[in-house]
Parts: sequence; C-alpha cells; structure tokens
Amino acid sequence: MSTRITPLQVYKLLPGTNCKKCGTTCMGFAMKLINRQARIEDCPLLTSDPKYAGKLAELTKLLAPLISASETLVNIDLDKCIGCGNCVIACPANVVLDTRAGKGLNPLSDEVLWLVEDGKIKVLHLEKCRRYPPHRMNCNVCELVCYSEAIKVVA
Amino acid sequence: MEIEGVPCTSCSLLCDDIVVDVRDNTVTRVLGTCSHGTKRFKELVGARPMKAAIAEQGGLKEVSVDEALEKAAEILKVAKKPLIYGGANSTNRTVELLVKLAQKLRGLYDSSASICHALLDLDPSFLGARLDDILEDADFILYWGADPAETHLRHASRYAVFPRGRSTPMGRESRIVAVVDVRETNTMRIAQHKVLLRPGSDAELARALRDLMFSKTPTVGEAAGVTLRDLSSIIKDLKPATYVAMFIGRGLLQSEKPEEALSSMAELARSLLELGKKVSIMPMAEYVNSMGQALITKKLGGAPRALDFSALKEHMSPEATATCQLEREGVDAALIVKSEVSEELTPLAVKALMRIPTIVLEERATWTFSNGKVSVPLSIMGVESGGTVTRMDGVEVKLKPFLKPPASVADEEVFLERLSSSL
Repeated sequence: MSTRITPLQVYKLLPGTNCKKCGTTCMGFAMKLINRQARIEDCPLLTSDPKYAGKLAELTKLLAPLISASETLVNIDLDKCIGCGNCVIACPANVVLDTRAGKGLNPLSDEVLWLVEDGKIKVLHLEKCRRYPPHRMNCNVCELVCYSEAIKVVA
Repeated sequence: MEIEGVPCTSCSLLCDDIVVDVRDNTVTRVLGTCSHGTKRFKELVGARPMKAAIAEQGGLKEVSVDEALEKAAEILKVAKKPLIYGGANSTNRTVELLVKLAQKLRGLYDSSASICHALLDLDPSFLGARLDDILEDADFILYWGADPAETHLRHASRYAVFPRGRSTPMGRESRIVAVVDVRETNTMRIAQHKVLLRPGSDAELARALRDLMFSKTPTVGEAAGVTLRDLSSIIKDLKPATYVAMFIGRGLLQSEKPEEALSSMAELARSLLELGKKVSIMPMAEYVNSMGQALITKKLGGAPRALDFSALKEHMSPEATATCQLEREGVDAALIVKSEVSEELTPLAVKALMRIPTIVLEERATWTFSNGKVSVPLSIMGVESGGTVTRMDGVEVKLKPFLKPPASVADEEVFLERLSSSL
C-alpha cells in the first residue's frame, strides 16, 4: 500500500500564514519541499519562532524518507528485495529500452533503467525513469507490483 | 567469461535466460536469477559437503567415492527389501535409474508427495499447456493454494502475469489475477482478486464459482467464507476471459479432502471449457524436477510414486509409501537421493530410518547427509553437472553446467549407473 507524503500533510505542518518570505505561499512551499526544490530552513518562521517547534520536529520526521530517496523520489530497500523481477518486467520505461523485458526476460542491454543482478534489482540509468525530474510523471508501477515492499514511492 | 542462456535449477520454473560470469572456476556475477537462484549459483558451492564418508563405530570415516560405492553395493546386496527414495531434485535419467534400481532389487520406490502426482490423474484436456502459451494468451490467471512470491519468485514476471503476449499486449493490464489461499500472501499484492477462503473449503468455493458462472441464483450470502459480492466480482472478470490458466499449489494437498477439491476444480474447468474458453491446469511443482519425477515414474511403474516391487506385480497403494513402510519396519535398507527426510517424512518414519543402514547421495549439507551410514557428496546439478530435467509444464530442459566439480564428489547419474551394474 502506498504511504506517500502528500502536499496537504506537509501544508498542515507549515505556519499557514502565507507570509511569502520563502518566495511563495505555504501550499506552494509544501509542493516545493516534496519536490526537493526547497529545504525546511527556507521557511524563516518555522525555524525561528519557538511556537512552531513542535510542527518543525514533526515536519522533519515526515520528510526524512525524502532525504534518502533518489531523484525519482523512490526508495529501494535492497535488503527486502528478493529479485523476483516484477518491477523490471512491469516497468513501462524498461520495456521500451530492451524488448526482452516485454517478454519476461531479464534485460541484457546496458541502456536499460534497471535489471536483476545477483538476486537484487540494480539501477543502471535512473534518468530513464518516468519519475525523473523535471518532467516527473506520477508513475508507481514498480511499487504496486513489488512482492516484498522493497520499493516505496515516498512522495 | 560470460555464459548466456544457463537454466537455473533452483525451482521448477527452470528460467533459461540466466547469464553467468565465471572467472577461475568461480561465479563472480549472475544476471537474471532471483534470490533463490543466486544462492544456488553463488553460495552452494562453498557450503556443500566435499568428502564421502562411512559411519563406523560411532564415528565417520572419510573414504573415496569408489570405496563408498563398494559399501553401498554391499548394503543393498544383503537387503531383502530396500527403500529407494528421491528423484524430485535430480535429473530425469536419475529418476529412471532409481525406479529401475528398485525394480531390480525388488524393493520400494518413493519420492516426496507432490501436487504434480495429484494432477496427473486429471482429464488430459486441461493438462499439456506450456508456460509460453500462457505468456502469450492467458488473460485470467488463477493461483490456488500457491504463493509464487515465496516459492517460484519469477513465475509472474517470467511467464504468467507481467510479460506482454500476443493476446495480452499490455502485460499485467491485459490480465486479471486472482489468488485463492487460506491466509493473506505476498502474491496477493499483484492480484485484483484476493480470495481468503475457509481452510478445507476449496471444493465448496470451486462449486460456488461454477454455479455462479451458469448464473444460478445462490441460496446463501457466502461460500467457503467468501462473500457473494467478492464471488460475483470474480465472475464478472471470469466471464469475458478467453484463456483461464489455473496454477494449483501444494496448499491444496494440505486441505482436508484434496481429491474432492481437485475434482470440483476440474468441474469448474470443464464448465469454462463448455463456455468456449481455453483452460489449463498446471501444478506449481515444489522441487526442481517434481514434474519429471512424476512423469517418468508413472511411465515406468504405472503410478507417480510409492511403487512396491517386492510383490510379483508392482502396485501403487497408500501402504507402499516410504512413511508407511518405514513405520511398519517393512524395509531393511535405504538409498536416499537429494531428499531431506526430516522435512518429508514423519518423525516416526525418520526414527525407523535411523535404525536401518542408509546410503545418502546429496549435494547440500543436510541432516540426512550427516546421518547416513554411507554418505556420498554429489556435484551440483545445473552448476557442475548436466543432464535433462522437466519444467513444471512438462517441457524438458537440458542443463548447461559451467563449473568444474571437485574430484572428491560424484556425478549422480554416473554413481547410480555404476551402483546398479555392480549389483
């Protein structure tokens, strides 16, 4: 099940004053935080006013998975990965890059997004993921097909 | 050196798209194997037994393979009714040799119980489908009592669910997946229909689905613990399907009445056929060559397991299983090939086995191996030794070994042929 961080969740932990000291509204700032285009410290109210200390702590905790996530905002836990290859075969980007994947075979091309090596997923070209910025598509096929919950789309 | 197209021998899927990188007789990298296959290809070589041994006066004496063979022949020669056990983890030729050895010695041949044995008796019109056909055309996949996310990790990605086929151009989006089990399984994560049934009510569920297919009005609000709403939802997806592929797992054997469940499922399959659909029933073979073991044994002995050759006319009966004969002390020696008896037989049968001389042929360091009177380490099938094994759909796959085995281990086929000719 998806446990993505949503803009509304982030917004609720912001001051909500729309002071625009960060350059945008609080909702806009929430979007920027999720897309990693801004940092929490860019909100002066949140970091300097003690009355927001609770919200700051909660927001830092909420956004923690974003820090370890890749540019595609996906976290892969290799300890959980069982190498079933569901993601590699189901991935729409991978099939276009190596037609072998479309037929259920492990890709052999060096140009694919990812393949299975030594019983685990190995990412070769993250920039070929449909979620890669700036044209980030809201694709989460890999997360949906993962048997072991090793793949998590964080936002 | 990169070797392409190596069949993986960790399960009965026998994935044949594996690439192995070998340097100095060591595997440095494997492409395409799941975690189970990787363990077999990379780790088993370092963890397996290396020396043949004979148990003597409470200790183990290391011997050569030839000495072990001599001792094994000695044990089998004096035995009145030996048990020959195994085959599901061996090559097809080995299965043949084991059955013929039992026949020659007028002993008992048996192998671990498998869902393959139960399914061989079904109407042949449901059997015979190939995994490749399912990849191309099956648009309704039904896993029943099977959890490939634990057992056959690449089943969905290599064949049944995710590949894009002739009639399923969108892969998973072109197929409906239903999983029937008594508990929530990881395979259910990829299914549109997650069916949790009451343990032992497989037959009831199959009957309910059949009735609903023919639009019979149900008299109760649920069947087998599944609500009518969920059942109707399955039927809604089952009706437009053109090819229904049913995969039956070992879970069915553990239900109270597996025969009744299977016959109800066959009835369901028959009604789907009547409605003009293509239907296949395939066992999720538990061990790498469970299917080969079942097919060859049935061909040679008339039944897929439990053959008693001690009588003038061999027959299969519940009394002829290894468990039953051991518990009754009906056998006086045993040859066990690549089988962990502590997992496959009852504790009582294992105790009885420990009282008779046992010859154990094994590629892994198992409890059975360390408790044999004569223990012979084998080369690892599909890694160090070749041969042919049978995939879960009956397709024979030729193995492509890529490592040189150590001199102190035996090849199972060669060892058994020599043993057989020395008797």
